[in-house]
Amino acid sequence: MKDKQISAQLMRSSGYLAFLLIMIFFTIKAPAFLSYGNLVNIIAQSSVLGICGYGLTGIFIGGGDDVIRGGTDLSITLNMAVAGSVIAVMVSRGQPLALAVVTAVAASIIIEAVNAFTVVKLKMIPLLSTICMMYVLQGVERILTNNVVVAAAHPLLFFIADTAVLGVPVMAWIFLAVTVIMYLVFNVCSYGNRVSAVGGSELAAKANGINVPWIVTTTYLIAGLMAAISAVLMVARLSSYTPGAGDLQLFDVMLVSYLGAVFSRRYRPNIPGTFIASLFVGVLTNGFTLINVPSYWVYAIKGALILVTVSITTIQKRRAV
Amino acid sequence: MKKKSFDMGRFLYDNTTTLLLLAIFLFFSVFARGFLTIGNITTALSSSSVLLLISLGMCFVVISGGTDLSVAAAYGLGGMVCVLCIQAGLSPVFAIFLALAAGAVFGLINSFLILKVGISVWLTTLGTLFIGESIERIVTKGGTPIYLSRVSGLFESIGQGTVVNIKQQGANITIKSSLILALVLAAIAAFVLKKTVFGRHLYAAGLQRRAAELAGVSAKRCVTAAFVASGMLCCLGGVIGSSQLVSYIPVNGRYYLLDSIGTVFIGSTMHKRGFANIGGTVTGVLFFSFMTNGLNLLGVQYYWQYVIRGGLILVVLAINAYQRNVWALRTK
Repeated sequence: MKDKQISAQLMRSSGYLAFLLIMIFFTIKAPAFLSYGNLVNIIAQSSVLGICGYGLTGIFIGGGDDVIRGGTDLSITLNMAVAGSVIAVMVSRGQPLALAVVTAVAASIIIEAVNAFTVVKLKMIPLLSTICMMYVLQGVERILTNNVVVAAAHPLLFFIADTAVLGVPVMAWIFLAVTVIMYLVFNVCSYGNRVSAVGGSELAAKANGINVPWIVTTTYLIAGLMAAISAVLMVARLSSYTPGAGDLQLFDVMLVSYLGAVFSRRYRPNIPGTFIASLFVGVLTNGFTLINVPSYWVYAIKGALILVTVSITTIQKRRAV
Repeated sequence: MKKKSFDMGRFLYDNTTTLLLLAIFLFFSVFARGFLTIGNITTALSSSSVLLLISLGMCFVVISGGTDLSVAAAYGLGGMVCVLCIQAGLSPVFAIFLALAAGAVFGLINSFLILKVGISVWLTTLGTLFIGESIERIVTKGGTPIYLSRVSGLFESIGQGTVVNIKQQGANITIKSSLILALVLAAIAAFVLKKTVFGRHLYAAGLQRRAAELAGVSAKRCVTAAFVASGMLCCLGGVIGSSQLVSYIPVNGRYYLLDSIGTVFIGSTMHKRGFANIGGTVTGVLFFSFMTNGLNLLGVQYYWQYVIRGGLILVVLAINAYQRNVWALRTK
């Protein structure tokens, strides 16, 4: 009996165990891995992925988990890309950074408002309407940047990318701050409960007097804001914007948001889970780079890891039922 | 009189997508010089065979109640297996057979993870997409294309062979055998889905898995078959693609992934109740290939092509969704 409980406990925390094992593996293989500087660096490196992932997680929570009709936004990384190219182009043309950031935030939120309109008002399948949006934004990004790398040098961007406050890089501070705010919004405020209720059952939420269309719309608008924030960090980190950055990150952001479900008791997408998942992916990328594994292996390992971790938790979930 | 106007509304509602596609087709015929010639249309059609095959695979999986993100990887693996076998000196027939077998195995792995292990369709196919693409990168040492010096035999004819090839002054009409192959497979798929017990079971399993199982349908077998079909069709697409390019280019499949999702769902808007279906999917593929062709003929810059393509599809789907909502209100 007791053995069973222990094994159940082990299975339940398999996500964390996998994380721990991989940390130990890297520590043995590359001594530099566990240094304070590197660990803090990993947090900073995961910030773009994580913040963008929060936006998608919010949409997942509010949209339910149906495979086809469930909430999703395939345009989110392209939204980030457009915001990034807006910032880079405006800064490189000598506009003030504040104006560039405000424009980028506005653009991102308008894009997501269009997404929300198609999903909520027109009742289109989110998967479908956001794929169309993705095509459109791919073009917009290329038009804005002319498909060349746009350099964006600004003291404040350098400050975000290269400075450490109290021994922690500014990027990591921003990441942590956004994490705390999103945690408060989705896990502490009553708003978060309402979003979960809508995602759980739209009809039941409606019967309880929740304004379902508005709640779903807000999850998309929040995602727009998150995309813009991650765009600022992305431009700051590279001091430039490279066209195509959005296409590459879509699947990583989806991975982070889905994998977040593994780090929760009820196996639902959630903000703290997404935070841990983004660190997990950050550790993988960082660690494999440290021990000189070619980057094309990292994708295979990422894919295998998702399948292994997720299958363990799903088996566990089935047993619990 | 009243009855007639009612019928008109119904007609418009049922055929919104078709009418919009016709409007776009007409637009290109008028404004794009050289669009409405037999030569151009056959060229546009012949270039769409790979997308058609992948969309057919996607269609099966969507009917079974999922979405297959790994079609991109299956496409790549099909081409890779085939080209590697031919490079190693195997006969083309055997190489194509092996590629199809690889597709079947890929589909079996997907369905094993979904049905036996119980991972959600999205996560499974996302995972196999990652793994498949990295296998492509690992085998090609980071993504260098494999060029074949020449193609021969069945491998040549499957991608480059022509059924009709008329070259006269001004007119240049070619219909590739790959297009005929894809259309024949589409016809078979339509027959299987509409007229056979398996097809009806597959729809039932996709709509209400539990209810279908209670009614005695082996939903698991249906879903497995859908994924195996998807894997094999995508690998066939990969074989044809690499035969046309006389080479294998790794991680080239993502281009088709989103297009195939688009074609299947545009197709599903043509169905009365919004189910994915083969006829609609074929129309969706036609829509995509004519649009690419028309925009190229108009000389639109390729950045703008993305915007126009995405915007147009969005508009088609949005009008359709709007119509559907209005109709739902009216019949309530």
